[in-house]
Amino acid sequence: MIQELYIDPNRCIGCRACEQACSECPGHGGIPMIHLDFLDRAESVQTAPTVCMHCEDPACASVCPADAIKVDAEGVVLSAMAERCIGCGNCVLACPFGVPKLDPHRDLMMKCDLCYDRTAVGLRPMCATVCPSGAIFYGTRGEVEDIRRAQPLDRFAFGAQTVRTRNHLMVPSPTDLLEVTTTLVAPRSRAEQLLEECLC
Amino acid sequence: MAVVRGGGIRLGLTERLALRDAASVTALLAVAVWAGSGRFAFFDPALAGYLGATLVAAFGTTYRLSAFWRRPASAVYARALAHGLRAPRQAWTVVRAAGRDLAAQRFIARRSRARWAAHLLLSLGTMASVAITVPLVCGWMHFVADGGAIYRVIVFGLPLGRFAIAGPLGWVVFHALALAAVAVVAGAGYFLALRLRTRALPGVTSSFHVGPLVLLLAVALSGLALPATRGSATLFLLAARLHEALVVVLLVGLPFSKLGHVLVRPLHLGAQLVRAPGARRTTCAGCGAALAPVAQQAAVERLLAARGFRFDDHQRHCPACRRRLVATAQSALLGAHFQPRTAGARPASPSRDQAA
Repeated sequence: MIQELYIDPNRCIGCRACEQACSECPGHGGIPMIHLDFLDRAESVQTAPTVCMHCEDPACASVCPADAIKVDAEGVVLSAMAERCIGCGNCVLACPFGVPKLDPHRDLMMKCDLCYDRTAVGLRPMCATVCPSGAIFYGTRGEVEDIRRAQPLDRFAFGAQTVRTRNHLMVPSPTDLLEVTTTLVAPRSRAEQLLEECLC
Repeated sequence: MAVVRGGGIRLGLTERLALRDAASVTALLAVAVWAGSGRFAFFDPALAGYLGATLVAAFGTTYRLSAFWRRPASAVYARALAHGLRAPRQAWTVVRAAGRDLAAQRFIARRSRARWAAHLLLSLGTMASVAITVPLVCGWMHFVADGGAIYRVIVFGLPLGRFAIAGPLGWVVFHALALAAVAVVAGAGYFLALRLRTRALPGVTSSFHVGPLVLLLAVALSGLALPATRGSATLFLLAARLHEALVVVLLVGLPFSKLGHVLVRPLHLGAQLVRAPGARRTTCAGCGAALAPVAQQAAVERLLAARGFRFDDHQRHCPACRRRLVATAQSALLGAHFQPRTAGARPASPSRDQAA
């Protein structure tokens, strides 16, 4: 059975253990390849981890001028080949999930490659190994379905584009497609409104 | 792209143009060999194998370079580089960047100083060997004895200078290839040891990475064996044949092996021009943060559209906002509502007039 990452932002407690573990990998010089973002820091402590979703048709690779981003036989989108990457940042602009990082100092793009060195020998990725709340789970689809009520999802709609991924996002109910719209703005909170009234 | 139709192969425009470029460069090189060697008068027939491999390498390298730089994603930066070289103000910037990034390879030093030193030895040693041997193989340069102690250097039939065989310049001329080979052995040896030390990592010791290093090492060592075996005719002949065979394999495979990354690096200069600090930048539609140079953003959007991607407005958001939008969409399924914005980028408060 194919093992994949299952990401559930709602289980994330923002401990940043995943970042620390990721930065331990020797391949990327102490820089974590996982992102941890606050969704609305003024209002909530909710955080969300983001790793490369390993798209079936990766936009990052399609715009790479150096042909430095390769996809292996198992569908893992590898980090840019260091000898080829010219540090242009096209991949950063193209990725709909906002994953690739550009290190301008080293002129090098870096991103999660699913801990290729570990997963190829049967180990779990560093982030999944240390996540204390199960927000990042590595295993088979059957395993995650056995222990979670949430359902794995691997199809996303960005604008008119549907993207299918190797990794999954966990959603509360069976959903075929997650529509990511740019108009997801919640009404402002009472605290924010009060602050504005004081300032105006 | 080459398309197979009815048993035949129909080449795409890129392949046809690349073939045209490769054939032109190879023909020009052949003519240059004929003219530069005084109609083969100064051509050494013993080097015919090297010449054949050089012509094949010229064809393959030009084909690869031309086809690669015509890829839509690469062409953006190739055009920027060509434009930069034509503009007087930018040309100096390009030359400086070429010195820094292509000759001195400083970008590797920022990744690792030891790798930088090894790569510098490997690349400069290889380039020096090519620069020394190609004029000799093509018959463009030869030496004429002027008495017992002096050599005259003839380049394209013209006397370029003279040097004492026993003098310091003579020593450098006769040992330049050996010095270059020592540099290649040191550089290739370092990278080979590095790869073998980390052989537990999948892919690190694959033939794609290790093959060219072993080949360079073998070429350099067999080259060093030539002066060392001069005392034995049999051994010298064996070393010469082995060296020739290895060089032919290296040259023929050059454009399509890992060593072909030298054809990609100049695009780095084009990228630096597009991403110059003063370039006008787009801003994130979500948080207002600076996103990318306008030209680059437009180029990426064009490339994605050409590949059939239609991300629409999502493309106008910065990576941080894109991540928040995905997580927010997931949270919305649970009934949670977050505002996907970055810190410090609150929407403008309504003015007193608007509030009124």
